[in-house]
Amino acid sequence: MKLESWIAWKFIFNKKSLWNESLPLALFGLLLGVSSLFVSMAVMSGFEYTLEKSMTDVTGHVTLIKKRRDNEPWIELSKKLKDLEPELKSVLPFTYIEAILARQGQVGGVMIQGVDPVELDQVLHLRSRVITGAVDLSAPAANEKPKAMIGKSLAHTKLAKQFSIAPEGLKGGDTFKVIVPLPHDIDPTQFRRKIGEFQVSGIMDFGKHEWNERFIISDIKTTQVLAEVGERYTGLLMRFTDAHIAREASVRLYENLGPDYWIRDWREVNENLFEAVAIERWVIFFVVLIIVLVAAFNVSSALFVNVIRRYPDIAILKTLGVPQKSLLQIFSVQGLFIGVVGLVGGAIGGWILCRLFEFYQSRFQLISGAVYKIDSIQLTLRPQDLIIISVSTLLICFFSSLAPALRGSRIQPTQGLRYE
Amino acid sequence: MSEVLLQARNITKIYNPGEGELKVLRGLGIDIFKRDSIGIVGASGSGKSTFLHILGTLDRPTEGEVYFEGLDLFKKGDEELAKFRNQKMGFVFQFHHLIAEMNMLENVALPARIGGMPKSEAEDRAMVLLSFMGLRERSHHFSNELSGGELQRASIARALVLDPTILFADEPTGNLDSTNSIMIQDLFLRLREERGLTLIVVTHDPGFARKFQRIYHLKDGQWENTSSLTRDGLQR
Repeated sequence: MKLESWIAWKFIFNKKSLWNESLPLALFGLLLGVSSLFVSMAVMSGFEYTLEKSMTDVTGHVTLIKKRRDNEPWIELSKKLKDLEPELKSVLPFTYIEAILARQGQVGGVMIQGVDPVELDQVLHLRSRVITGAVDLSAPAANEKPKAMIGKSLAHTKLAKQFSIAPEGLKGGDTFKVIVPLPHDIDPTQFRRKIGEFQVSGIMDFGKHEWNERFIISDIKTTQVLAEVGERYTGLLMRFTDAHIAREASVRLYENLGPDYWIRDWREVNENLFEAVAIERWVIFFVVLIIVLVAAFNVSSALFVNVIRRYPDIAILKTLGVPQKSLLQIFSVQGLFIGVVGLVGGAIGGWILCRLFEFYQSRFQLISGAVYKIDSIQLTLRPQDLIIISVSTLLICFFSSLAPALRGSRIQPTQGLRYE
Repeated sequence: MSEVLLQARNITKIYNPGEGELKVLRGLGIDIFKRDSIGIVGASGSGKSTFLHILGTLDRPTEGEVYFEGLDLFKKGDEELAKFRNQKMGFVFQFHHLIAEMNMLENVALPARIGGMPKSEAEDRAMVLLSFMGLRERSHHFSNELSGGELQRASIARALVLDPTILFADEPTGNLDSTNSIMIQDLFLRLREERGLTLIVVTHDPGFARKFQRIYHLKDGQWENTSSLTRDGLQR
């Protein structure tokens, strides 16, 4: 260890400084501030991550919807897409229909997404989202209904209870009915009703609150029959090698495929929300950083006390030949030491607070899904968050030590020797 | 006649110059030769510590010069002076000024480490000096575990670790009982004999002062009279 750092360490982390001065209180304040920074950044990044994961798990990276009602085979379209985008891993054809749950004057809309069961796992990651049951869209037995996976909130809505054979709510193996409105063959002002019946194979947490309330995933054949669209499909869901190249890929696909297709990536659907989160992240960072800044004033005054108490030691160091520059280093390194201890302590404190948040989140409804789109957050800290928190904390602590360091380095030897 | 090591010329020190100024030293001069032993005596407030601090470059005079081997010391910058003090001068004060958070070995090795010596070499030197002072067993003890006499011996060891040319002592026995005081006084004279040190000591104790070759009496910032000491006693 360099002499200056060694002396700085001896001067600041000793029994006397740690027990008899304001240093522990200043350190505790800094630790709290840094913990708050860690938690707030983990919540913001966690929110973004949870929303991103929910979007990409349930809808893939890019959604392509055909505007023309033709019978272009999906296999051919997918070959064309893979030729255009080598990073495209897999595609999944889907149909999308809106249906109604209605009984005794109560009406609720649901969305049924029919997907190809064979390609399902290549594009969507639904297995990690199963609460009860399984990801199973296999063909039903002769006396069974087509299988469907439904959102967790939908399974417990009043309507779902009424439409199922189980009054306490839907669970694996239960059946439920939906009404699909279809256009009338002759009169465009009328519509026909068609009843579809499904058997629940899995209750899912789709992540997004509105999906949990309205989303049903079934196999594509069943939905094509229900919607009477023959072999036609609504579009393709795509998965790329990386979710973050989806934006550029979707733009390129749009440019190559032309206006017959509507193409959007996972982020575009919630663009405003993601942008708001990005701005809020910085706002919250700077607001919480003020706590660290206030704590740094405490650090500064604790270092001032340390410098004043150290007058005789500073005097003897100068007498023995320590130049002013080295004394400045000794006392500014103290600020960095305090910063590092505060940072490590704050990281541990932040980690504990995050675990507590997750513990209580799993037991109580801490986040309103209706307001924030998701009702639980998987707390995450990105490497860049860690770097920003570390650098800003250390810089603040370093600058807070400069004034006491200057004071300490300017003491004349005779000034300190007179004190005893 | 041995050559002049340290010369002070017309040293004046004024605190708060202008209205309410305090003139502590009034044009003092001194020639100090190699292997000299000089005692500076005087009443409290006479300016003897201030003069010692100026000779030791710990403080700058308001007027006057201090030459070391013909070199004007106060023409050097603070950083250069710090390096010079580290290499050429040793200091002992009334209070030991050992750093409480360092053990005796670390304290004694400190000037050598400040001078850029590797830790192991500095500590080897420190250990030799601690043994010389009879403190080998105390090398890993801290200042709150040692007696006043032991602490002062450790501070002398610290002053000697880089083999200085000149040793300044500001009332080194002022805080000690008579037994320890005599032990320290003898140690200083032994150091001069054995190591060829030049000694400049400020003291209140006439008995201690009588052991030096020359005694300077300071009163109100001026020399009152100068005495030369021989082995037979004080000459006036």
